[in-house]
This record gives sequence, C-alpha cells and structure tokens, in this order.
Amino acid sequence: MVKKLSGEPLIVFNPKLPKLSKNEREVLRLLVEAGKLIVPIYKLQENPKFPGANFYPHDASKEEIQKAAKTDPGILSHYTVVERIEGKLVATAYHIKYADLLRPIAEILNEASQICENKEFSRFLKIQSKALLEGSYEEAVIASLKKKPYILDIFIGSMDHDDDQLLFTKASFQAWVGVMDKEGTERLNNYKSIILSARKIPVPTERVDNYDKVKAKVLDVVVFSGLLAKTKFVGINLPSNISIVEKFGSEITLFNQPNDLRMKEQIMPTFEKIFPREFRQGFDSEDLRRGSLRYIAMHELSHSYLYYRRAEKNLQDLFMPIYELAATVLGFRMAGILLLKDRINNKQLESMIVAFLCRSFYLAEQSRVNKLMVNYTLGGIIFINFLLESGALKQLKGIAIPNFMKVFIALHDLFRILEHLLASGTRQEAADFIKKYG
Amino acid sequence: MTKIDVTPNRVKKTVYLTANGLSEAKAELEFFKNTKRAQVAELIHQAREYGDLAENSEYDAALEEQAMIESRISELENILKGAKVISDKHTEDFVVIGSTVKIEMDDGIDEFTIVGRVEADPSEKRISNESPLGLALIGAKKGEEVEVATPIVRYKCKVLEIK
Repeated sequence: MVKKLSGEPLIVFNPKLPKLSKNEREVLRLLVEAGKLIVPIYKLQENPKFPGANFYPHDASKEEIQKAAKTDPGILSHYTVVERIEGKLVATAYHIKYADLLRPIAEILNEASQICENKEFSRFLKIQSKALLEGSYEEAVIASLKKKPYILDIFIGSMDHDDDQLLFTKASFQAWVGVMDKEGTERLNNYKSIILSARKIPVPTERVDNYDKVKAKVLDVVVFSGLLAKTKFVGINLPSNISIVEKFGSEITLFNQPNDLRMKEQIMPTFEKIFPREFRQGFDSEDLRRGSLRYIAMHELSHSYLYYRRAEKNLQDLFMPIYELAATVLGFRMAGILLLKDRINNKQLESMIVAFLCRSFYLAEQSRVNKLMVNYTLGGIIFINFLLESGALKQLKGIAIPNFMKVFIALHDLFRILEHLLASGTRQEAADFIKKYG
Repeated sequence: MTKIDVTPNRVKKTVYLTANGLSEAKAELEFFKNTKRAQVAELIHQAREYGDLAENSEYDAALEEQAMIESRISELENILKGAKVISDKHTEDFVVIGSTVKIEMDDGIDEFTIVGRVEADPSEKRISNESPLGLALIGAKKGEEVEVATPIVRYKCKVLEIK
C-alpha cells in the first residue's frame, strides 16, 4: 500500500521488508522520521507558479541573476537561496537559511548514528548530520560512495535541479529511506559486470573513465520526501559532479516501489491507450514492470560512458535533455549486448522499449500541465519523433506500432548524434537538433 | 488400436562441459543423492511429528525443498547423460567451444570463453555456445568479421584473437 498525503511532497510506501534486527528496526524508524522532516523545507523552496520557484526573487530576470553572479558566484551555487535585499541580489546558503528546520533532522540522524551497531553506517550518518548543519553536502556524498553496502540506506539533502526551471541550477531538498533488496542488487550487479567490462576501449581525453568505480544497489523504499515525492524517480545516479565521479566513483540506486507506482499511474494506462489490442496481447503487466526497471537500470549504467568533461559547459541549458536521452538510448544498445550473450531474451528487450515508449507518451501528454519533468519530456519527444521519422514507429489515429528491428537501427543513428553533441557539440548544434525533433 | 504419441519430439541437445564442469556436476549429483536426500527426508520426518499437517509450515517448506532437490537431481542426470567434454587442447585457427576469444563489437573490446550452456555465466566472461554471440562466433577465424543477429538486434563483430 502506498500512502500519499494529498498535496504534501511525501510518499510513504509499505514494502515487504526482509527480517531486520531490533537495532536495525530502531535505526530505520529514526531514518524515516528524519526523512519526513524534509517536507517543510522543500515546501519553502517549491513554487510551481514561478520558473525559478522560490530560489530567486520572483521579479528577478534570468539576465539580472546572471549579471549579479559575475560579482558574487554564490548566486549560482546549487545550494543557495537568492533574495533581494535593499534592491541588491544576495545569496544565502541553505544551511543558514533553513537552519531552524535542519537542526532537528541533524539531531535525529545523530541519534541514529549513536545507536547504530554497524560502525561504518554509524559514521556515515554522523557525516550526513554534519552536512545538513554545515552545508557540506558533497562530503556526505563522498562518505556514501566510500561506505560498504549495508541493509539500511538513506539519502537526505539537496540534489536534483528539476524545480529550477529558470537557470536549472538550484538543488531541491529531498530524501529517500529504504532497505536493501539483496536479490535485486545481485541482479543489477550482474548486469553491471557484463556491461561495464565489455567496452574496454581507450577512453578519449574528453571523457572521464570510472568503470571500475561504479557501485549499484536496489532498494525497497519506505519513504520518498521533498522533490523525490514529486519526480518519483525510479533510478538515480550519484554524484552529478564530474570531478567527484572521477575521484571517488559513482553509485546507481534503483527503487522498487516507485517503479510499481509508475507502472500503475503511467505505464499501464498509457500502454492500454496507445497500442492496438493485438500488440498488447504480447505483453503482460509483469513484462512491462520488469521492462521498466530494466531500461532504467541500463540507463543508469550507461551514464558511466557519458561523463564528457565539457558537455555541460558547451550545451548549457540543453545539456540535461541530451545527456539523459543519450543514457537511455545507449542503455538500449547495451541491452542488445545482454541479449546476444543470452542474459535477456528478445521479449525482455522489447518490453524495455515498450515501457520507455509508454513513459515518453505519458510525459508528452502531461507536459501541458506539468513542467517539472521538462528535460525527460523533451528527451521522450525527441525519441518518439526520431523513431517516427526513421519508420521504426508508425502512428495512426493515436495508435502506435513499433518495428523493433528498425527501432534498433534507429537507436544506433540517434546515439551517434547524441554522443557527438556530448563530446564536442555546441549549444547551437543542440538547439538545431532539438528544433528538428523536439 | 495404435496409440498416438502426443508428446512433442524433443531434440536432444549435446551438453558441452569442461573437464572441471563435468567433475563439479558429478560431485553435485552425488551430494544431492547421497546427502541432501537423506537430510530432507529427516526434515520431513521431524516436521510430521509437529502434528497437524494442514497448518504445518515446516512440513510445507521441507516438501518444497524435497521437490527442488529431486528436480535438480533429474536435471543433473540429464546433463550428464548427454554431456560431451570440451578438450583442453583446441585449435587456435578458428573459434570452437572452449576457445577464449577477443572481439570488437559496438565500439567495445570484449574477451570471453565459449562454453556449454550449463557453465555459461556472462558476468564471469563465459558465454554459451547456444547464445546468439556464441553461435555466430563458432568457426570464425582470427580477423574475420561475423554478423550476430536476433529477430531485433544486429551487430557486426570482429574476431581479434583466439586463445
């Protein structure tokens, strides 16, 4: 059962958990309590009426903010709120601005750290607690990357930028709390071993190689709060800071219950709507549930091949949609390798593509009312239009029919374009490409 | 009256095993037949003594384990019946079962050993001879480019080295 509090950025899942010790149960209870307390902070940050949410003064233009940032770079920091004080734009760090609300969360994390019998996780919770009070979020991410896998898991802090539609810079507060799905984690790591060891080629200097430093886990989620309760992501790849990735590696986290929720709210209703009955008979909901989780797993694994040093700077505001779509497209290509090695079958690969098509059509339809997922929506629309142009997808009176063989040929061509944009493309090239297919 | 056999004609496939794989399969079969069978029989016997079989979860779990053991025994017996051992010494002129191959495909270089399906584990660099990649590579020579295809995926693959 999923409990969503109406209007509140909080989702409480009720997964079937493995047997936990008394100490683990007590620590989990505290983590859930801390995770829920992110809600009031996030509510101060979000504001769908303004593209810059509450991160900037509502009357400030993009140009004014960028100009002010030349004298105060803190204005464009991921972790500051910008306010107008006596007519001047001033940046205040999150840990100062929201200190009163962050303190109780830090205290609970400290309490959890003190009682936790697993020394390494206890140490991590202490760093996490300190990060909230001092704004040392990256220190907490590094500590998370260094710790060994543990049955309990938490992320609490500022990460994704989806709420900032003005400059795509400000990170929103969010939290997840979950319990390790051992079987799912093993499966994901099995894919990782096949995929990340099969592409040992000289890495061009413009790309960061971190293949040996990728961790992966699957969680049964207990709580999503803050921005995550709105985006309901099924997979996350941390960190986004490329220099941390290069030095400390990265970690992929997949979420079981949010995938089930996405199936119910987005994938299945869209599947029923856009595909003809004969086509639908080839897939049941379990095929698509696994297809959805699998394509997201492959998407996140693919990010490891797409850390181009200059891409974000070159493509600016168009970086995210190109980067995210490239990861999905490469993910499908790599799933092809799993198929050739008998790790998945044709039907499983087709289910991945069908699940992504459903997600893309759903986001395209929702884009009229929901601007939050703009980067993913744009990627989905480009994907659909590219397939339509190549003849891999036929659409007639709202009904879609894919030709999977042609889809795979189109994926190859699409990835070449996206990879070029990430490696050495300019913002203008990206804009032209988006204008053609977006 | 002639009885009609409605069971489908099953094509018996040869199962290829390395010498190590063969001895492991034999040891596993022996362990299941001589040790596990007796252990699970004892578990069933103990569970019966708890009484009321309808509400007895230990009894259900033991029965489930027994079914799993019998299924594995039957599977191993079938494997060993049709097993063919892959020779340690094989040609390096072209790819055979047992070859370790270095290939270039989809902008990546990969190396793995081709084994029978029983020992296949792509995450451990062991690919089945019955997989699309294994099928396409068997018989290929060094430097040769082969096409690997399934109904939806088509890749070109170049053999760089055979060991």
